[in-house]
Amino acid sequence: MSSSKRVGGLKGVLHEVLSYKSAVIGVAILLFLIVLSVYTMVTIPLPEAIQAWRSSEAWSRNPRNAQPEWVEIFYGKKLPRTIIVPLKDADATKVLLEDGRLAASWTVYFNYEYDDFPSEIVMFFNSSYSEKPAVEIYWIRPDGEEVFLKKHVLRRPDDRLYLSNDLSLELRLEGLFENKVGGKPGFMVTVEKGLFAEYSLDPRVLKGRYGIRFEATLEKNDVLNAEVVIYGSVYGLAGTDHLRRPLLIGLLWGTPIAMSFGLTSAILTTVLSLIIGTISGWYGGKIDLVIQRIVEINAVLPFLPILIMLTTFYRIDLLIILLSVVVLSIFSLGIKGTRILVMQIKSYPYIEAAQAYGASNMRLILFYVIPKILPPVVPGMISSVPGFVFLEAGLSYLGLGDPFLPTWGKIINDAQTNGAFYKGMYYWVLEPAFMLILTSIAFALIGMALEKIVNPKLKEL
Amino acid sequence: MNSDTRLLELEDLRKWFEIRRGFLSSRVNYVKAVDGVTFSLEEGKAVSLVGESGSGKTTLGKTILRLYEPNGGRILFQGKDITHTKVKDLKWYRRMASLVQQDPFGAFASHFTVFRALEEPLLIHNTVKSREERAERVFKALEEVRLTPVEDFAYKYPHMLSGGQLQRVAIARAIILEPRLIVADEPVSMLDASVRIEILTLLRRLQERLRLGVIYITHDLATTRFFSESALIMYAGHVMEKASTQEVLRNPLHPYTKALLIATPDPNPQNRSRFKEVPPGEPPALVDPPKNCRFSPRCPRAFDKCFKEEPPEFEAAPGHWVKCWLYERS
Amino acid sequence: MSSGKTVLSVRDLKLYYRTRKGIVKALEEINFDLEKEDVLAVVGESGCGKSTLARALVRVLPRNIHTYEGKVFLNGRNVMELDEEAFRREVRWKKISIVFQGAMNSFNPVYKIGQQVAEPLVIHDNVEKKEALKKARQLIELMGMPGIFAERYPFELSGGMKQRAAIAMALITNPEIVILDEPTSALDVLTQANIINLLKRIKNEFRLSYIFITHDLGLASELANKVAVIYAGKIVELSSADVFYTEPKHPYSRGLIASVPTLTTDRKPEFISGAPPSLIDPPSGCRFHPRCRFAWDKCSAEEPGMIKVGEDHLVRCWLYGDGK
Repeated sequence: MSSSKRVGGLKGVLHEVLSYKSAVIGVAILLFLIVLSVYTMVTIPLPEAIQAWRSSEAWSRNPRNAQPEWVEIFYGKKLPRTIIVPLKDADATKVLLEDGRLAASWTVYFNYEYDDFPSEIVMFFNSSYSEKPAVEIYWIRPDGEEVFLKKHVLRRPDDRLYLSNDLSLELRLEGLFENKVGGKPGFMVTVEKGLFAEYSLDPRVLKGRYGIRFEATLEKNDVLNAEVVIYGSVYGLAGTDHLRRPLLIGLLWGTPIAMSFGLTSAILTTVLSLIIGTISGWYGGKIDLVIQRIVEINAVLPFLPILIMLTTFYRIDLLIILLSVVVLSIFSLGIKGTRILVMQIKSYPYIEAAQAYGASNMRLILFYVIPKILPPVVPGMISSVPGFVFLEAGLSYLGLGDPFLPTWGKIINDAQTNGAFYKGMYYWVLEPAFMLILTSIAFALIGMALEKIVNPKLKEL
Repeated sequence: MNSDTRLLELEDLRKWFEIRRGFLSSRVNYVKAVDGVTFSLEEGKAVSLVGESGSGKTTLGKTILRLYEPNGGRILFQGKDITHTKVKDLKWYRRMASLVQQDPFGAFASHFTVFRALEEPLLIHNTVKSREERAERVFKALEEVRLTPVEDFAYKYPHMLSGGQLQRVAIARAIILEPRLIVADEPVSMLDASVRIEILTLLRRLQERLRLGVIYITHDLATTRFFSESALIMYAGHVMEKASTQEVLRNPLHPYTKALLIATPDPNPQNRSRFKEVPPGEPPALVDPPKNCRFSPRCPRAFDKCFKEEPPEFEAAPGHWVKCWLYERS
Repeated sequence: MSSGKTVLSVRDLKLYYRTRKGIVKALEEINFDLEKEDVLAVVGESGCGKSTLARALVRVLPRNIHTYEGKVFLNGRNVMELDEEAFRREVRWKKISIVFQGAMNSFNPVYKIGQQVAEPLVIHDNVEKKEALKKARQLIELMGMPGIFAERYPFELSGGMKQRAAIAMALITNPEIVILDEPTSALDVLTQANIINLLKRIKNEFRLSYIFITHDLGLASELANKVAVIYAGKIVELSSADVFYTEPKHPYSRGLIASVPTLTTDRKPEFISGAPPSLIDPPSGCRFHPRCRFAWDKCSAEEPGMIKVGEDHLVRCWLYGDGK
């Protein structure tokens, strides 16, 4: 079955590969991953991504450890997204006082229709002043009730007020609750619950239109700007991590990184192995002996521990990891197979014929030998990509990967370090794991189909 | 170039192969595949090298092409001593002397089309620079070997052709660089009987027209008749008899040659009622052979001297040389 | 010379097999008789079906067999009617044995020669191993080799010796007919002559009949008293050897004879142009007509049957029948 000769080279192979249903799935997944990679690289250029990944300011408006939005399907209720209420949109009233100061009041409203409570409430101030103003904040519930939250003196122009961590506020709200309900409620009254719950023994969200009023006395040229961020418990397609970073970015960026690491390692390893095996088999003699001994020694070396050693002692950088992996992998036992094949080919009459009409060793190797040994090697190369992808992920998981790059392994590492499973944040681990598995399946399916095509050809040597 | 018309001269040529017993042993044994061959070939003439397997004929052919380096003796091509020239300095020789192998199917890389396979020698020697010129040469070569229409054959892969057709391509490849010498190593033994004559005739015609020297290696004595001027009978690395083909066939002198002639079947229904008188046994192993007549163990005419001493070549008749003690007085 | 008793009679043997490209009509209308101590040479080019015929007679069929019909009378009995088990017990290696092409390469390298030669006795005749080995040794000696060779392994023997062992293996069950499929193809000329001598000797000693398959007409004449020429799966000429070599009738036979280079005569050999046809889609009418010098309209239109041109001489050619 020499169909690749009938329908010229690459096109013919593609045609044949697609005749296997499993391969079609593999190719489809691969195309999806490629599209994802390209999209990611275009929309979020890597330097920006790395920078953003490392900074915390970029994500300040994201909820911490938020679940992906689609989990609400499983909960059966609408989970809260983050609501940002800027003071700019407020109804403001300003009254000029006798001493030239302004008594200002802003009220902003927002609707809260979710079935669950927000995860956090933070107020971001952005103001300029001559003297630190004191701001009084009132909370207006949909039923009209007003709750005095606190009086806060701005410490700096970009001050932040973390209501959720405010113990005194929490105690006050708890007291308020007990009064209204007439006893201890059946749940712990956190600030969020205190502000958003119905007054009942069970935690139920009070839906409706909420308001927040800021009152402050300002000097003439003071500007008071604020943003109230009511953090949801879900965010985006993939959720967020402990640093509020959208996991989607990690997942997206992990794709081209995983693919390029996997493919580069696989291709480099395969090609270099092929060259070494060919030299060993073709030239024989001392060089063959030396290479074979290196291969045998390499087979006994513990791959992972050495890799760990390298990454521990030297700077951790994806490129270094790549090079180390390749160097440790090229002297694999596969060379023995290549060598035998090359020795076989060398004994064929057409090699002798070519020597008779003056072909040099290099020419023989490049044009006569390699075209014969390359096809059988390709399926193995494709099938080895997942292995390298997992290797990188594994190293990242162990904390030995590149600490600055957003990779799937790094995400899992973060998840594990932050106790994802204990806290029920399964998505944090499952999402990168899913991407890893998807990538593996794609390459494995394609590799298997290629294997089926190439194997009968081995007889045509 | 000197005025000598001798295309090729071999003087006491030897090719031995080392076999080492064991990894650490220092003792080296030699398989003496070619052990003292002398002959010369003129321009435009064909010589048959006849022998059974193990006679050394193939090794001799390859040594002549310098695919091996001789261990002794000399090879002179057009007067130039190429015995120990380094391989990298032999590129010019690769153009002047070419090879046609026994197995047409093994002679071609399966991933080259016929066109590509014929183009290779041209590409290697870079004598023809332009693509069009190369294509012209390739098509011309295909026409010479009667593989027409050439477009039909040029773009096929080897597995699509028959043995006979492939052997023609092999011949085309051998002549495409316009060599002076062709070594044809059993070019038809793997082909069907009816195709053999066709290919041999083609080779002969090309040889005559292009004035090529041809060394025709074969085990079939019957085919030498119309295809070579002179013949060498080889046995166990030695040339046992050397003369014009006609002489060898009509008047064989060496007992081995006589046995070969008796043993070669010809289509005669009376054969079935007769037993052939042929010496029993097998050709000897060539590892460190004893220094006597190699054929003596099987020879019906062997006497004392044959078992003790290796005979030189005696000129039993003008131009007719025999390596046999029976012809000592000459 | 033949004794007149017909040992094997083949009538209308047909064998087709299936390939991806179509159905290969490997053998059609095969008819011949073999008498005791006859040697029938089956000659033809490679791919003509002669090896297929050998296999068809011992029923060693390919897996992709499509049609296998006809009558094969062994001592009067049609063995085509026997089922596989009966055929194996009674015919294969018991009445008809075969020396395959390249038999010397089909020895198992890890068993001694003696054991392998003895194997047919053990399998087909249920003979005790010790007894069988003894017989094997005897036979090996009969083949012209020292009995001690039974203790050797295949790699220790030369090509000629292995071929002798293969012949011994074919004889050990005392068959009546031995099929020899190119028994000397890879051997040197002298060794070949010795093997032919051996085959002559044992034929006389054991009163065997041979079906000798070869592409070498010279070699065929060494043993055969009858010749069948096969072209494209059909017998195109069937006659005694004496007549065949002196007056071949079919253009293909004449071409074959003319293409044999001879040592003795001055005739320059000629060749037949063209190549054997595909057996999937053979030419219409006479399968040889595209290569035949004498072909005319009828040859491409209608296929000739076997036409009697002499005593025991049949030719499949319109030159000799009604028409011209």
